[in-house]
Amino acid sequence: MNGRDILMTRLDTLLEDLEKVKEAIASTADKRKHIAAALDSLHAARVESRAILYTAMVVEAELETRDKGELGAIKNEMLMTGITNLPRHANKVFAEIENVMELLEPVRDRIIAAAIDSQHALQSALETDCAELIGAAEDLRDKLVAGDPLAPLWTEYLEFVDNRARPVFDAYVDFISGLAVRDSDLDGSICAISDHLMTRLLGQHEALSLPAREAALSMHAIIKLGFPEWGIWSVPLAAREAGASLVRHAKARKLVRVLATPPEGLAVEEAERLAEDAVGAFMLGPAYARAMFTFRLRPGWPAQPGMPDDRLRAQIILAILRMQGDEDRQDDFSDEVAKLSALWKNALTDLCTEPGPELDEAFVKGVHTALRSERMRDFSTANWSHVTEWASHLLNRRGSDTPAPLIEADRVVTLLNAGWLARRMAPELADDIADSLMELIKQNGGSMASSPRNVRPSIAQTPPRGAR
Amino acid sequence: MIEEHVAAEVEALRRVTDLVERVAGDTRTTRVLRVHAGDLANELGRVRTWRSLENLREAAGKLRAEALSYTQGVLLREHRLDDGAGPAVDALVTHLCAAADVAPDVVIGVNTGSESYTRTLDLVRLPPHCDVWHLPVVAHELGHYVIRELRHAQDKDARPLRELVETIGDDDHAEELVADSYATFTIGPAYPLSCLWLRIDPGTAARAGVTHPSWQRRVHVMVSLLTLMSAEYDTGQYSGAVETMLLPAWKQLTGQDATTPGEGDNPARTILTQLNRHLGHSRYVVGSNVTLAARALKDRTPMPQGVTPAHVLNAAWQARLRGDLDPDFNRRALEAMR
Repeated sequence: MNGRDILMTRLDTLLEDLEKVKEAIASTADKRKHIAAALDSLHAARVESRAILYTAMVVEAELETRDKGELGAIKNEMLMTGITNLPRHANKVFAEIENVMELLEPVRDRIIAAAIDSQHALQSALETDCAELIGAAEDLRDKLVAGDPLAPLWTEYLEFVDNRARPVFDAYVDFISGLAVRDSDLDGSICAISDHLMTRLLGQHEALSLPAREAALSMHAIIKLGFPEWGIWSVPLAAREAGASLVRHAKARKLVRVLATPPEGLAVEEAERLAEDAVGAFMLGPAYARAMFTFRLRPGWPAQPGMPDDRLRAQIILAILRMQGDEDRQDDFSDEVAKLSALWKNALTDLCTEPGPELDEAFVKGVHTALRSERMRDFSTANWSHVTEWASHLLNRRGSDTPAPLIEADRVVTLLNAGWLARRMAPELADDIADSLMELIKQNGGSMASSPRNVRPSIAQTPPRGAR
Repeated sequence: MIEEHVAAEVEALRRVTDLVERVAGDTRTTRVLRVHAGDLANELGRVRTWRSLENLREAAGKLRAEALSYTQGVLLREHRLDDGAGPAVDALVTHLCAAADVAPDVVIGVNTGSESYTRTLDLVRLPPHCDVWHLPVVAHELGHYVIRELRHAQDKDARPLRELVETIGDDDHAEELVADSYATFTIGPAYPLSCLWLRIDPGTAARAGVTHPSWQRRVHVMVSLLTLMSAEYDTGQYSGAVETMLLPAWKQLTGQDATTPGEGDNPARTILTQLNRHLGHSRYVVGSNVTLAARALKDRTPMPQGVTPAHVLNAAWQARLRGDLDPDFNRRALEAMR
């Protein structure tokens, strides 16, 4: 085999591509920062112009008095013309700034909502990965120049492209196109809500949600919201990617320890995927189960490679919810879990599918205990009464009083559960419920832009369960 | 429960249609997407079993993937993140479609993996910033579109290139060979050069896949086609490229002096006959235009009249093989194609 020049050309092309990726990431991020900075300056200009406007109003009032009041004493004609024109100019400047602000305010919300700080952290991660790849590609080129045997170099190059460079290219395309979609508000603010949720689950600036083609956790913590799940009903599914972040980056050490020895018949990889579902159910409660049963799990369909059987996934979700309920002895909550179990069972019966292999009880218990001891902020079944109150409110907003405000840290999770409960009670109203739910979530927690900073993250900083 | 799943699929189709409409406006692609999504939604409405739902889900998933790839392509171009490749691709597509007398209804989407063409939306998927040396692959992907769209001059219902595919094998491999030949016929050596220098892996060159013939067979057909074109048009320009650029690259890659047919027949002559008959105006004619294009690229002067995007692609490849590049070359070449 030969082809030294050709391999050199490919390495050069790869290095050029990696440099382009690095530049594009930097310029995309810079552009967003510049827009945010320009909007801040515009905001400051508005404040100043308002002060000028007040001065102009005083001048105008004085000019309208008899003999122009105290200003009548001014003899300098140019100065007088300037003073006379001041109110008109000041009004015009103020109106123009207001006009621009009105046009740009939605952009500001979106840009800030996309958490510039989180973006910066992830941008650095992407840049670091790129720099590592460039270093590795340069090493390969050096070996080629030094005359190393060609055949192993070709193999090394092909493995490098497939296993290392391509995932970074994929992450890069998702990053830039995801930001473009988010900046254009094509995601309907779902990413901002997901970011808010992620802050609760993972901590501040740990994740950036971006619209993508497939749902996944990419890079360090880009939460890719897969199309068509760019809707409020799918937001709970992001909790699974939070679970993936905890498992893959060993942030939950006790959980990782449990997963190191999976039960018989289950590969480590499959046990990890089940644990990610467990995290979702643990943190999001029944909303996670409803979203999974509706959008993701396919009863009676063969498992995807590397994924456990969907029946096992449903089992662990239901088991975790049951364990949450048992310990808190909430009857209404247990009733909801029973309804979920029946829903799944009916789906299996409809399909004439066997309930499937039984999940090892000790494993589930081990996962649940690990999650508890990681001091994660779980879905507290004590909040179920709030869920039912808000569900009723969502179903009958005009006819009911607004329930008492929710604790900020639990607000989005409670409302997501309330939304799903309302949808279960009146499926024909799903669209109306979704609209009301979006409105409620966007309220007061407000611009999702600022809320993440106020939400306490769920890991480590949260007091242990007994202390709450 | 199946009703919820069906409703979610229908909703997903509605969403993707809305998304494309918001991003691209009321374009032909949007309208085609709406029709396909409507058909699928109707079929979903009649679903009663999980098995039939799963089949439709697969179709719906493919349609969504195409639509999202298109959306990403539009957004990256709007946000100027395509490195200027978008207008160059458009120019190439317009040039080739005009020569073939087919409507330029192909749209460009984003893909990080290999390039592809999908019929539903007539979408060509490319990497986000395709440089001038990778662009020849657009001609191959467009070939799949032309195979379906090209009509017989006398009989508008006849599809001569589809019939050609049926004649030489009626399978995916046959279609790939016709698409390769179309690219070679219309943009000349730039296409095989791009394959040899940037795409073919020496370790797997002789291995045929399910959808694609081996590179060994594909290169042999391309080389044969150029050699036959030289004989047909009595010019050494096509075979000259084979001798001076393609065969040396093949030797570098595989150690072989000549290309060999690989796992199947060599249909180059049959294909060339049909391409000459139905796409005579599309043939890549070298003349002095590649030299003129190369000079203009080097001197940073406007492209002379008569230089087509195909000439620029070949000039770019020749400059690369001579090592006559500067850091700004790619940008200039992409601009020159517009």
